[in-house]
Amino acid sequence: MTIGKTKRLSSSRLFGYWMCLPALILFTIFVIYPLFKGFYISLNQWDGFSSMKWNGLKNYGFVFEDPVFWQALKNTFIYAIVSPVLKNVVGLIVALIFVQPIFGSYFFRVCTYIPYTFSYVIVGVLFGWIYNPTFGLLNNFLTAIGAEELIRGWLSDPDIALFSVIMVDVWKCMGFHGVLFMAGLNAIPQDLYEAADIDGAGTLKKFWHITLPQLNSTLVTGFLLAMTGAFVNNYDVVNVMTGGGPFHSTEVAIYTIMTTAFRYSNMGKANAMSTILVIFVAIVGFIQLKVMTRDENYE
Amino acid sequence: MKNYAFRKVMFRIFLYLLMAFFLILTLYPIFWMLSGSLKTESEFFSNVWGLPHNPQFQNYAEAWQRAGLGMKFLNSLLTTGSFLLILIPMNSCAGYALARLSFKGKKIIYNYLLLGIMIPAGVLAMPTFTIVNEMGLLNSRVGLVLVYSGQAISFGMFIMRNYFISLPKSLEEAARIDGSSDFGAFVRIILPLAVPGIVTQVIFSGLANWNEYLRANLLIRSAELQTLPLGMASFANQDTINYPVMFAALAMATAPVIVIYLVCQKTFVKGVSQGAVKG
Amino acid sequence: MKRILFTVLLTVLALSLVFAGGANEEPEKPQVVVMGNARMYEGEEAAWEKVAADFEAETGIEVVLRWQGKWNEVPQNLSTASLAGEKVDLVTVGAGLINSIVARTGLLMDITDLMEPYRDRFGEGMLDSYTIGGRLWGFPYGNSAAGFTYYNKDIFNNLGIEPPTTYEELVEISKTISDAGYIPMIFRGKDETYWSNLFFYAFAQTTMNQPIEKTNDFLTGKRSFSSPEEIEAVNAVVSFFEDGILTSDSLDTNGDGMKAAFLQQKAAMMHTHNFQLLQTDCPDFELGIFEFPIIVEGAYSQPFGGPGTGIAIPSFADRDNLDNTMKFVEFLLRPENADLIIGCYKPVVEVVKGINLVDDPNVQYLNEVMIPKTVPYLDWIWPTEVNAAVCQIIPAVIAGTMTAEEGTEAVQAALERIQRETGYQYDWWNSWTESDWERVTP
Repeated sequence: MTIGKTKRLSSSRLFGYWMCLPALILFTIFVIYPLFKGFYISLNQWDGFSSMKWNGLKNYGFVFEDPVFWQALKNTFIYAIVSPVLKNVVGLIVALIFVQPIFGSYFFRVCTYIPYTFSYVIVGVLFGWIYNPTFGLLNNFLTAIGAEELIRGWLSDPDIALFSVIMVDVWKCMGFHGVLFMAGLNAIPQDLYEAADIDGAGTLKKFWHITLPQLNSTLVTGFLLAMTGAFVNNYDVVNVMTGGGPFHSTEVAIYTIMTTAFRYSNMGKANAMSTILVIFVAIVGFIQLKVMTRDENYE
Repeated sequence: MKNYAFRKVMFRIFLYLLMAFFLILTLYPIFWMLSGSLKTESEFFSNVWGLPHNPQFQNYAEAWQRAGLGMKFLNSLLTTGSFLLILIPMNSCAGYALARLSFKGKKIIYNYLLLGIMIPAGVLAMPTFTIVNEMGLLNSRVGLVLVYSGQAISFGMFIMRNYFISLPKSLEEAARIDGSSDFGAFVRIILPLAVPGIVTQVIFSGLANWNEYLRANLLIRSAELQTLPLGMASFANQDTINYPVMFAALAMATAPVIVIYLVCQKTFVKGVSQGAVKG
Repeated sequence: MKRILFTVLLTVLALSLVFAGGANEEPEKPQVVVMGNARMYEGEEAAWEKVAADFEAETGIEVVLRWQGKWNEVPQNLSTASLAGEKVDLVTVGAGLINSIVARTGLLMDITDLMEPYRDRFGEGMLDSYTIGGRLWGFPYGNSAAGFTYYNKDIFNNLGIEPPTTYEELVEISKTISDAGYIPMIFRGKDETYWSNLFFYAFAQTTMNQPIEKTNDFLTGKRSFSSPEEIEAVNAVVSFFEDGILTSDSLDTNGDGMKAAFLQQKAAMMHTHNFQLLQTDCPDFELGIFEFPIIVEGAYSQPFGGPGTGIAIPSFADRDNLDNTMKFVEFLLRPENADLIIGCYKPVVEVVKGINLVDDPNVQYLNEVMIPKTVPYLDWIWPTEVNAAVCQIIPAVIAGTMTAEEGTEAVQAALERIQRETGYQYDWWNSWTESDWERVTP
């Protein structure tokens, strides 16, 4: 009996490694190796076409004295704080509608997800029209309801352009986050609510003391996705909406990196920027994971 | 009691208003895209928000032919299909091991694999090209699929691990009483419960690569292997974009995704609720 | 059901693996490989296929057409093709890209001598934009353009106003138009790369029609961008806003919005960098065009433009195949074939001689008045970073966040920055070594 157990344990130990192996191999070849290659490129002067020229840490110096990159990092942090909050709040709201046993909630769930499948080309054209000052839907709507004082140059006013872009991202992702939250809501055991009903708890109280705590892991996932997305995955939305303008007010780090690499053909500096960005994101990401995952349920 | 009923009705009305608000936000753009795809080029500009006066159904035929969508559809299906076929088993295994098995270095492996969600894929593009070229996998579907899979591991592994963690501890024990091997227990008992995680990956990663342009453009070098997003480039002229035809093409490219989502999301909900009941 | 799905997916994977590599057998007959961005005009791809088929019927040489990516991704695609050792004989690439990026990288062949016999096949001055450092790096094959202002003749007639020739007249009519409730002039201010276009026109006049010479001086360090002429030009653009010709509507408007505002008759004038509206595009009113007004006494109105789309030979092309390649080039330049392909662009300028121009009332004015005095867009000559800097500072000066002096200094700083960071040198051809030249010589 004892022997059998030891044997199982040791085989199970190896089993864990076997299970991780394929992922480890592919990940190392196609993510970590290119990452190091990118780091190597960052130590060179390279336009992506001719041969590389070694220039040590100079590119990092260039990045540090580039005000646009720092502005972009600042915008990235604003983006990374505002968009996860909004995406999760809106996601939770639509998920709460999804799970109501009312007529049309299934149809609603199906529709909410559709913007997520849209290509950014369509999103860009659509919201370009909506925000347009001359015949845009938004300003016309504000005029119609008599709220002319709210009319803005939604994408041309540097103070609000970044938020206009974030709203588009939130709109596109609300279905995705809604579906995540719905999964979380459905997984909450009903007896918790029944017990609370016996205690005579109100709807808000139940939401606060049962629903939210039970959604912890969904929240962690949702936040982590939205936040890392804000760091590394918002090139498309910025590109189609504003191209970083006006005056770099909507320029996020990944956008600066992509333009430096592919528009200005400065691969060395672009890779230096991305090395810095990766370090930032890794720090923020791990802090966030540490703070938000209170217990490792299965250690 | 009367007060309670009244509040219930008010709550209903509030819910429906909220729903209507969100529905306008999502449905109107779809309607707008479809009606835009049926306009003539000049009508697209002179009549931005309204219905087409004289629907141009031939836009769809033109888009299909001009972007060579037939071949590209097949390529996108093959690429995304094989991508998922590699990704899902790989991530399920890794996610399971990292969630429920105990072995040395587990935490390190987990953090290592998680690094990927912090790395912008666009930045990896040029180095990835060099590596794929060194491996001799340039201009092949295998190369593209492997790159896609490698760079999608982090997110999928994270999702899978989350779901595996939420399953009750007693599952493996039950399997052992059954006399299954480790792997057998995983495949027959645990994996079926992880359907929500799998579907989330299919929807999220599958969709991301269905629309992926940058890496496909670098790694695919011949017309026979081009995917759908590459076909869309033929509409990307700076000054004379023919929006109606482009919208027609995009509508056709998006349609299968929506269909797959409709199919998947039922499984998704079912899987989730089953898991919850059994737990 | 699940099992079926699984089987299908597995088959798909197996099939994809089988078909993946693609056979790479040696071609039996001679081939010319054309690489280029995805064709952008209706019917263009079919036209190329027809010309290729005709060529094969005549010579027995097969033409392989490979279209992929967007027009501005050609440099990247060309470089990856070179790294991957692909066979490419011809590449479609625009004049702007050749000037600002590709030629200096050594990826293109010096085709000065190869093209000598065919120079007379092109319209007057059409090869200029493809000549850098006295050598030819490509040839135009597509449409050409020049910038000007469109106006709505119906609105003008109703208000009893005439197209302006001087700045004062433009200010005058703008007031009339805006009093009548229209936006006087609309411009694509939200598209980051078009602000410099307005700058060109002002700069041409503040330099007394020496914009190209002054730009060369600037890029070779003989002149600072914060010189009086540049500052004056920036201020001239800003005064378009101060004097009510352009309004804040233009700040938030992109290319589509600009077209829509003009076609919906919300704006009476539209400044554009090329010929993008035909009379047939606007059935609701009559379309007119006029030149940029005179803003500096003694200068003349000078348009910017040039044949943007072209063809080049990569420096890594197979030298032994050049004969076949040049046979195809000759074939492409025959009027009947050029007409087939370039005809899809709705051409307004005779880039290749013998093609039929589109039938439009404004084409004649364009060709007679503007094209002869047109010089290349300055953003073809500037490095991308300088253009980006110009496009950033103009709206900033308009918004009042900086002065024109600070703005022009920022542009100068942008040039100095890339000289420091990337070793940018404008006249690269002067410092190329023998082996550099050898690489690009046929």
